Amino acid sequence: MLDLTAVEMDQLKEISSIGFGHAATALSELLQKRCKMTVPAVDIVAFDEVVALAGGPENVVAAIFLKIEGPFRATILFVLPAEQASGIVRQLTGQKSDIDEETGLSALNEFGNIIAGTYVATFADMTKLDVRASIPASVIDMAGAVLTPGLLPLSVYGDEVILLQTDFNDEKRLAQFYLLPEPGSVDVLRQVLKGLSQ
Amino acid sequence: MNRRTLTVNVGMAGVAYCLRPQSIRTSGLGSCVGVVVYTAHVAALAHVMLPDSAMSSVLDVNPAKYADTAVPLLAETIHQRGYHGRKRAKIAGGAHMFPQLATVDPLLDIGTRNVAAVRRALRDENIPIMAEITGGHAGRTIEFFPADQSLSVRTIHGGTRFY
Repeated sequence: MLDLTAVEMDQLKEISSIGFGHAATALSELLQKRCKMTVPAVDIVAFDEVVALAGGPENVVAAIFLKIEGPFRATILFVLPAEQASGIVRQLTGQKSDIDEETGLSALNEFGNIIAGTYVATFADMTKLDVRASIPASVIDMAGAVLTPGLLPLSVYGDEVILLQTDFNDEKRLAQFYLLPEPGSVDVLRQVLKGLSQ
Repeated sequence: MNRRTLTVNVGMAGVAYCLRPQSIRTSGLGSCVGVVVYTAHVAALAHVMLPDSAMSSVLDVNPAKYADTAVPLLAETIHQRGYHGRKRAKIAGGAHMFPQLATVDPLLDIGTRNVAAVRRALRDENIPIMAEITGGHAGRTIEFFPADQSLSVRTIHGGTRFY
């Protein structure tokens, strides 16, 4: 179903590298600290692998979930190790805030808003598609529990998802940024990528 | 089944059974529902993801994935092992992990619909529900012990409780 060619995947990687580059700049301004975000790999993975990549069904992760709305519709799931998310929240709140607290989750939402909002804005700019990001929802819980509901609405159509591995500040562990186009939107994406290469 | 294996693990959209003194578990249930059907000697567990197999657009339907097909499959799994005693059920899961997004995508509250579909399917099979730990907003890992017919439910903030 997600039969993107190598060229199309490269184009998506290019868009994503620029999008995350802009996101890192926005984050740097907010945190008053230089942030870097690269995209070392773009891949298509099976739903079954998503939970395994997040460390298994019981591993505790932070997930930020939102939708791309407009002529191109997709779900975005951003998955971070829980400790990494805690570090970001502490920087955002300027205190040793516990991630479980309401302020922690709202800070994480804010972080997701910046990353995904900037990514989607870049995507819209480059593809000339009038798309926007929905409000994000964040949750910290077992990987199986938080990732499955995000994938379920699409699992009746197929079982693959686009994975953009992202690297924060050259850290060892990669965060996962998943892009799940809705069924009718795969063709939209393909058309747009075709237009970009001409 | 390996005799030395004390715990049988069931993956997403999977189904399996265990015999005393083994236990059977499934982890990271969010909106999914873990359905245990058991008799005095055997327990079968399915990790149900969606309410209705009619939702699938693919022809090759995995019966354990959908509530309406998983429950009959559990009953059959028990019958196939030669157990015909009175069947009972315990269910857990069906949480709403993203309540903030209910307006964005109603499908995200699949948990409530999963629980309703599992209840309906169990009623159709005349299998009474002895314990139901469903709803809420937390992920769950469950394990059933046929030896005393107890179900443990673990959440990351609530610890482990037995039902």
